[in-house]
Amino acid sequence: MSTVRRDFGSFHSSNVQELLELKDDDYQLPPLPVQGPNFLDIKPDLHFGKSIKNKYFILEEECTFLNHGAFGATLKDALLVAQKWQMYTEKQPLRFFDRELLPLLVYVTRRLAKFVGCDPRDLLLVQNATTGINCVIKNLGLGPGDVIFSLSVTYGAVKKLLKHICAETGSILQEETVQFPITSRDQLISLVESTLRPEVTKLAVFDHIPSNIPFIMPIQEIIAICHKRGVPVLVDGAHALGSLPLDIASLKPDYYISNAHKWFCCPKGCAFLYVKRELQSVIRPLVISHGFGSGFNSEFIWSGLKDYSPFLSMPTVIDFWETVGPDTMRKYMYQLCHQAAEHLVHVWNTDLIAPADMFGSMSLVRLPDTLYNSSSPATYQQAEVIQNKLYYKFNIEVGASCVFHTLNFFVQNLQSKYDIHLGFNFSKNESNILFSNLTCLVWMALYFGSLAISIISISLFGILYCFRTSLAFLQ
Amino acid sequence: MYTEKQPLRFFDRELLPLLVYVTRRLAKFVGCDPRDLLLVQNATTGINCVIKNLGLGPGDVIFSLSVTYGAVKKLLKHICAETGSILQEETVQFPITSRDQLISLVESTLRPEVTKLAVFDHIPSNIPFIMPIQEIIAICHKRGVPVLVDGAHALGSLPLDIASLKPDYYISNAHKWFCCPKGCAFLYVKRELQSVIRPLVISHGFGSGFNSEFIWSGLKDYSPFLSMPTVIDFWETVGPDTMRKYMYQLCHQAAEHLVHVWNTDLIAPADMFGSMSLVRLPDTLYNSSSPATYQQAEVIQNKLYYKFNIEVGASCVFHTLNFFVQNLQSKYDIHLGFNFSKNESNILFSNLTCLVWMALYFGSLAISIISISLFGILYCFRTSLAFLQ
Repeated sequence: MSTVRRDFGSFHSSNVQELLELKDDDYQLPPLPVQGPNFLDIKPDLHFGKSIKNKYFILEEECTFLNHGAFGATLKDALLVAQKWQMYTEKQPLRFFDRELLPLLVYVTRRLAKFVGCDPRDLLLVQNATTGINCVIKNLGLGPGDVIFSLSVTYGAVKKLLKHICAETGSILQEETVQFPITSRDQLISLVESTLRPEVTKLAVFDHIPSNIPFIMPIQEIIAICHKRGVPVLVDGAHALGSLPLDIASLKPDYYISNAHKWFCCPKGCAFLYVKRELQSVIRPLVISHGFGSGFNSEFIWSGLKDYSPFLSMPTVIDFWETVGPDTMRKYMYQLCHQAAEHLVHVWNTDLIAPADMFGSMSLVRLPDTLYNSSSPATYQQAEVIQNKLYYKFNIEVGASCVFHTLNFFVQNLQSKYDIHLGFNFSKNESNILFSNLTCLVWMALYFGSLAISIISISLFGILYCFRTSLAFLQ
Repeated sequence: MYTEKQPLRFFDRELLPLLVYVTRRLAKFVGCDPRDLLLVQNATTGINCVIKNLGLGPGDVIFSLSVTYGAVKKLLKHICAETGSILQEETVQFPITSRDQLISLVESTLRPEVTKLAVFDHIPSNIPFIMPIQEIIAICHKRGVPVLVDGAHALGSLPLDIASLKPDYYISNAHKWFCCPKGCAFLYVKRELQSVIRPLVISHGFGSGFNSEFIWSGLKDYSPFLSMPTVIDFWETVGPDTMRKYMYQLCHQAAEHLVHVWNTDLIAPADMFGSMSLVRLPDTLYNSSSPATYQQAEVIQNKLYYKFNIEVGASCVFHTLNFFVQNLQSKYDIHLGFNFSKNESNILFSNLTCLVWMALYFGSLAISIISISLFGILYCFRTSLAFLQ
């Protein structure tokens, strides 16, 4: 065991800061009383598909779940590991929290840091992206006249936060509108280039994959522009972990946030916040507790008594991803998504809201003109009607939204885990809706969730192999 | 597991009404209007939320006592440093002679006009006597000072009726004495003060009403909250008074026994203790004139843990009496008292070369709670097994 000094408060475990600083060679794993399957038996020629969904995920059979980006499906094995941690905790809570938890969280942080490509001292485990973003925004020390730069595609809850902070501090929210359809990556790069003001801008906020219009932002180029003008960048990568290859060291953001419980399939309540070393002195946690004053990571690692099992199940999830291979998984996801999107575009004779190569595991397809032909833009309420109809009538869980734009409506985020067959089903459903609702004059954009089932298929297969081998191990 | 069957259906369509149900039930149990009650992750979060929204400025005073919880002291110091306000911390003298001692302390030191908030622990964590909070709140209100009560230990271990207590802010953990799963607590905010209290995490509910702003703090595991009705059912069926009667009785018996065996005393009158006690260690174990330190207390705590597998807290009180045994909870009845004195003698004899002994910090009546809880959890587990599957 590493011989480092005792930690803050009443915690008897080794010092968090020192454990995070240790080189890999010097670092020793803490005891792991609960472990997940090691996934070693996953064959390289995995056959992804619907048939194994029920074995590895908990999603119910009856629903066509196409909204993985909103609330992801958890890997069943990860959830079981988390529950085992909960039970283990209760055997002797004081022993667990005072003596065992902190080194375990250090272990999780080190593993995740390796996966996302950053130093573990710059990585914090937080409950969700919203918490991470609140933490950064509220510590900026903004004043009257300071500017926060953002785009119109920023996540709704973040917009509320930014507006609130600006109202509180007298700073200004500069929100630049993204025009649709998007013609190329350059369109976004140029938008930033032409509107970002140096000197006054204290922070620029970008969604790596905007939630409602899920194209992949050309974030590397945008960060370069911002840094050239002396503007720090906060990247809201809520959808990124899992759905994109993530290497923070090469991306060089000032702050990066991502959820692990969306595309990465961790149990709910698991995300991370990266803060560049030079900026750590001003970032204080939202919840100040015992670790305060004992070092950057110490301040965040304990936020009062709560359930830390989502974090503790993270190594199991990382094991899975590393064993199957993130590139393999993404290749299947992207392929399926693009196929389905292409199919819908062909069947409906419409188009995508951005070039096809700007989409990854989510797409945005425009609904047929025949469904909505008012000159005024479609509204959120109209989009909601279609979402509800698909949900209640066809048990298809997708998002529906609308884009306030002359084109009026788009189908977003189509993910088809059922191959092209789903595309056929969709158009059939759409026709049925149209015919049975001829008296209804308004249609909205459809919001299809992420490629849930492709992820699930891959995961299900992997977990089956791991489950068999680990069954003896765990019992 | 139910969430995972269809996460979007659950979070988008089912969760919020469920959280409202939990809020309403808990509000009934603690005696307040559900509109004034927020579910939060833990007491620390709740207290951070209030303190950070006070809008303090230079010259403003926060009043507190020396027995305030350590993490809260750090928070208060930080806020004062950030805002230029002043932390007024009044020292509680030990041993405590009566409830009046604390009431008088507040009466004689609390300044109206400048004091923007007074913070009191309903049961201080390290010195677990029960604060005469009702009288103290009355004094504060007479002087126009709002009161934040950190009742982290209160829910379950005390009869709680917020309506009659009339605090401005009240925080309690449900995962301590109330036996909820970890990550479950509440924050009460008086109606008139709700307009200034904003959540730490601003999310979709912002601008849609006080409770809406707090109810959703991003995607996380809400199941600790959702299990609350099961816990309330248990408490209401067994009866909170019955449970507390047993807890208090056992605690007092054990404390009395130790006092007798060690020929020492309690740090406060016996009737000021509930489910936790504080007993002084024998003088023979520590006879330096300088106060015992935290490190010294920790040595005894670790020794009891590693050598005897007894999980207790050990701390010290910086006072002329040097050390106290705190928070004795004996689930082993009087027999533990006997074992303790035997163990203590063994420690003493086997460590004669060790000159320092510290105050023992015995954890809360863990095992009496655990006994009750185990029975309750077994009962709840049975009934909830069907629900969860």
